[in-house]
Amino acid sequence: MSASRPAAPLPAFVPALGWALTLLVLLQFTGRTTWMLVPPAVLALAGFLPLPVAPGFFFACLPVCLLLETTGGGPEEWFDALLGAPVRRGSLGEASLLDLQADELVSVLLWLAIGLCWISGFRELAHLSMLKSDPFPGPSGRGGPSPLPRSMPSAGGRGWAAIEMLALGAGILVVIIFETAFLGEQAGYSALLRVRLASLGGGFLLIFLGVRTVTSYLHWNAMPVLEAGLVAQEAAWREGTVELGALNRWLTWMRVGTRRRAERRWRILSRGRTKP
Amino acid sequence: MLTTRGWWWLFHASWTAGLGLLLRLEGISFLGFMGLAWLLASWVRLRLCCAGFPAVVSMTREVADRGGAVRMLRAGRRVVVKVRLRHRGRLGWPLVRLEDRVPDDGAWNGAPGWWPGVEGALPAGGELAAQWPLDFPLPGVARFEGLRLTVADSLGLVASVMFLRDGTEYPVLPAGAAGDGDGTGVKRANLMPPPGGHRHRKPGGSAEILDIRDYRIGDSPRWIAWKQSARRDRVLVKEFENEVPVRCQVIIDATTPVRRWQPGGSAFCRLSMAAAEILEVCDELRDPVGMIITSEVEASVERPNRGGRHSLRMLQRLARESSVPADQPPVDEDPWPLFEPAAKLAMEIYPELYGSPDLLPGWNRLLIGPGRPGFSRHGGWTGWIFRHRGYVWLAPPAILVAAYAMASPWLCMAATWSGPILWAIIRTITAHHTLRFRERKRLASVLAARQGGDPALVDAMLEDDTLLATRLRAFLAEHRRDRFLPMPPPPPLTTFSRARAERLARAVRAAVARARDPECHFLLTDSSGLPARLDVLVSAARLVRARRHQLVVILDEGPERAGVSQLVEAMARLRVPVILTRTGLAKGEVSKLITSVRRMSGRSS
Repeated sequence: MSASRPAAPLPAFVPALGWALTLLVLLQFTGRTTWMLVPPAVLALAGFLPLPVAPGFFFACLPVCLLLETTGGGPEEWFDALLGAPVRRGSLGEASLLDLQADELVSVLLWLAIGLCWISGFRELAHLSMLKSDPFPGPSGRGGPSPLPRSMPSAGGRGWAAIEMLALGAGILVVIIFETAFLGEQAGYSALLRVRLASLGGGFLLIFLGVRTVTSYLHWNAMPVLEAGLVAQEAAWREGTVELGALNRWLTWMRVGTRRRAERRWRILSRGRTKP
Repeated sequence: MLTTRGWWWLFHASWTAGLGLLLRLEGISFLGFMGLAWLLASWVRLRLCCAGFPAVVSMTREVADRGGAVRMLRAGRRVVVKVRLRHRGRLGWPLVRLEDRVPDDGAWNGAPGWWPGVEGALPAGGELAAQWPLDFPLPGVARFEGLRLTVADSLGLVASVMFLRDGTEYPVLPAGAAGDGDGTGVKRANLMPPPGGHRHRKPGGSAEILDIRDYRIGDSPRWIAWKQSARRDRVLVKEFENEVPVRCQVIIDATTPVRRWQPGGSAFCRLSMAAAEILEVCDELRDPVGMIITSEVEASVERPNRGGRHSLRMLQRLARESSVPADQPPVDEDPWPLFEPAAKLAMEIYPELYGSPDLLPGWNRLLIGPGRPGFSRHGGWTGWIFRHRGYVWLAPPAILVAAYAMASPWLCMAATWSGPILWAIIRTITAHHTLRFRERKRLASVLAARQGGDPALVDAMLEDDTLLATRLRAFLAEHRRDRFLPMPPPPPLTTFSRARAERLARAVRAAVARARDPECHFLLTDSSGLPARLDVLVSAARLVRARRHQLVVILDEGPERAGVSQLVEAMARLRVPVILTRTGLAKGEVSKLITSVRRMSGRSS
């Protein structure tokens, strides 16, 4: 009797897709708008996540979608209201397909998918290249590759990364769409460019300062004694450097003067004179 | 901080976004924005992961040899250092390089420039362990400063370098010839007295004949072996085995020239290895042994005693003294050449302090004063201008007064521009002094923080070149980096003081004064400035021999050999053997010497 062949592991998203399709059919009977398609879509996406985490997303978004269902308008109506333009895209073959049409849903989704693929591809490449090249910064003067034994982390966590990328892309797209809608058709490209750069710099500063504030507060609580002493010393130095500087200047002049007098006396004595 | 690939990604994403904005392609610019946002998200994620450091991690360290964990090391014996890092926070570290700083004077047979460690992921609640072999060829103190942790995101785009301070110290005991083996003790002879027997408290020969030799002047007629003399027709005497314990006093010179570091270790390290061999031999022979360590400021005395605990205490004392660097006398010198090695060392040990941007003196002080002239005689004429840059702002009112006195509208107009123009010229000329001053402020802050955080000390080091240079040299010497300084050490003195020899002679006199016969003294010193000290050492040896004690001089032969032959000749006239350690102590050489000295001690008394 031949040994039984081990079964190939079933991809995690296959059962999730089955459940999603089932729920899709079921929820179509319960809801009137497209909002009720979101929970099975979330479940399908959550199939890429670890099993203990995936149902949480579904159960979190289900009441939200039910609440939105009560508004009577589906996502397409929300997009229509937000963009102020027809949602449906007329023709896919136009040259304008190359560019991001902020008022057309298909273009937006297309570029979002391109962005996701771009970042994902870079992510996979970075993982592969990490095996061959040293990703860590280090002090100069180190020659050759790292001699340290390395247990590289697996390239897992794709599900979390996908959600993060999706959130980032969606956030950027919302900002782009809002800025375009806010400026209107009559505004020139220079105004749009100024708004783009301002939002880029302002957003970076806002996030940077916010994160630094939070992490600095955490670091302040966990600061070692030596570093805390340095902080106190710096504060005291900045407060009293003028007065201390003036005092030290006199003291140092005194020390230097004493030393110079001693040197002069020694020179005179070494020349053989008995009195300086 | 961004890694190399992070910089490339930033360049790529910025280029893409800029190209899209320039060509009015919103989709392309969207891709660039998304790349930048991905980089920013990686930075945010890493900052949140590392927040709360060092409270979010804990480390354990274990130093073990073949027999298991140890609390003390032996010079020349290999140990294995095991480090375990445990994460106690909520957010794990996706990728971390753990590097353990090799203790000063320790040796790790790895790639040059690298520290031993391991790389890998450290999830929340997880552990990361590394182990590496450590050799310590010299006695001293092995101080493990801590771990350098380089935490990167999972793609290696951003990284953060942190230092987890440890500060665990292990004494590295000097090992004599007995310690050069494989570490397992071999019992060579049963020297324990038989049950019920005790060693004599007072000198005298035993009944056991050890040897027969020719008669020498001074031998007692009672020792003549009459029958053998008659048989061989010459006078022979019997030599008896000595069962009297010989008290040994090890007198070690610990003055500054002995402690000064040289390639291959200081003279004190070699002398302490020789002293350890003496201690081991005396311990094996069950002789009481004491130790006197004399330096410029004090002389510590360990009274002669026997037993393992006493020997261990003396070995620990030797290890502690071996780790003390030589005193750095204040030298009026330009501290600028010391900045680079000191900054490199500070970045290794105190990266969170030295790398802190809060230590910079502030642009208001650098640009417009107030004038901090300092008292540096170095820096040339540009340094003089930099020190007096605060007086630039006296130029406009002076020109204004001159304009008023001369009633010149041109001067009146020039007064408004003279200040900024002069300021710009001076800033351009003295740009390198600005950078030096910023570096000086960083180093002064770190050095002052190590000594308790005194802000006045920061100011003093900013003002006084000699003080800063002295502290920098002490900082480098403490971590054994003074041997790699870019500038040569101060030239040696051309005249040598006899004060060192006087201190050593005083220690010898103290040992003789409290001696109980029979006694053997071991005098350990180096050969620097020996001609100036020769007569003092010889007179001390003469005093010892006058009390009919034995003396052995162990000399660390330095690069200058002047006076060594004279010392050997002078000591030979007093029947005092001299051993040179630089040529290498042969295994068992000291033990043979001690045995012969014991024999002489028993005979001569």
